[in-house]
Amino acid sequence: MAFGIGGCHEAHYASGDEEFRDAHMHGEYKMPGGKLVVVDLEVRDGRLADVQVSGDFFLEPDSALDAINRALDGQPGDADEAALTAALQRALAGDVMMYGLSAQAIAIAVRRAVDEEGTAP
Amino acid sequence: MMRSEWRDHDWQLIHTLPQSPSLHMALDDALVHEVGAGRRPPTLRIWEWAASAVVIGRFQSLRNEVDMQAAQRHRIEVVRRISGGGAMFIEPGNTITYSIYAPLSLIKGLSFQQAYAHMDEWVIEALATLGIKAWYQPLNDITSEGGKIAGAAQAHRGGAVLHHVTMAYDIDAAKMLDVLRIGREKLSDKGTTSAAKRVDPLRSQTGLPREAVIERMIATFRRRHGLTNDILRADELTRADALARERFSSPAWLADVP
Repeated sequence: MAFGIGGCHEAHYASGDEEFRDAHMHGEYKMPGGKLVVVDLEVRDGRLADVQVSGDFFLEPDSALDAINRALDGQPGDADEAALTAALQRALAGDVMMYGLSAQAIAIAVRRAVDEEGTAP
Repeated sequence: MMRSEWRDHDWQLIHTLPQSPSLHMALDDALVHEVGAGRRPPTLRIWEWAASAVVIGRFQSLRNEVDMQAAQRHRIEVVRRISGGGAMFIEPGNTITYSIYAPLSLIKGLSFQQAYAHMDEWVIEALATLGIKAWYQPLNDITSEGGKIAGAAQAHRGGAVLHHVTMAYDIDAAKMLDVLRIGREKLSDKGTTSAAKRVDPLRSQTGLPREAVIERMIATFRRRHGLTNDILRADELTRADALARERFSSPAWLADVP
């Protein structure tokens, strides 16, 4: 519902947030014809931890966001896109509706967070 | 359940004095429940703002989207709404915002994409009568030759759908960029340059005061769908006041997606 918003965000973090930045990884992906998916996470002992998915997508019911985060927490840090997509699909009940979002888009954002960006800017 | 037509419903209009950002969030929550429970007929609510606000989407990260220090500096209240979608920047008089609370039957059998366009056909027509050629741009935007006009969001609650829209009347782009962490590239993508001072597709393309645009929108809805003037019931306002206090102005809700 935004003004001027929807994709292509540049992520910034408030100055002075050093502790937050340390081990933090951040990835973004805008699926074609969809909305922006953002993933913030850490990798601890080789596994995804403190996973937080966010973005300007639409999701019903809204409690499904917690299910998405929980499905990703504890996944191997080297789980590939297909494995992450499958884990998400298993975790989401049949009545979950996504608009501008897909399990695969979330998986891609996770891989970008871990592979490409490393620590947040 | 059969799909219903607009004219099958007894549409009510609520357009009242300016209210606080957190109360607007609460009214959307309370009224979509009332319509879903059958205690209120389907309703169009036009918002008037008592204070400046940033309204972020249900699933947006507060930290990633909003510069809270800048918001405090500009005395802007930051709130989280119950629907998905992106952040919006509001100053009283700079946008036109409305909500439609409708039974799910109105969008029965439609795809998400069709449902968004269906709920705003009356707005496209109202804009056309004001000389603006506007159209729906999936997934959830209304756009025009003069740039993006509006963003919509829907949320389903019980047996009802909330469809709300914010339209840019005359936005101070510099202040918006100060508060929202938007890529400047994105602004240019929307037909304005990063140097633009105003985002004003409605003001510049109609030459009309904001109130006149709202008047035309209400008249168009009334002619197409029927519309009776209504007010909030005392119990609805009591419920919304409580929600505004306990939920929508709480730090926990605001940082629900940190």
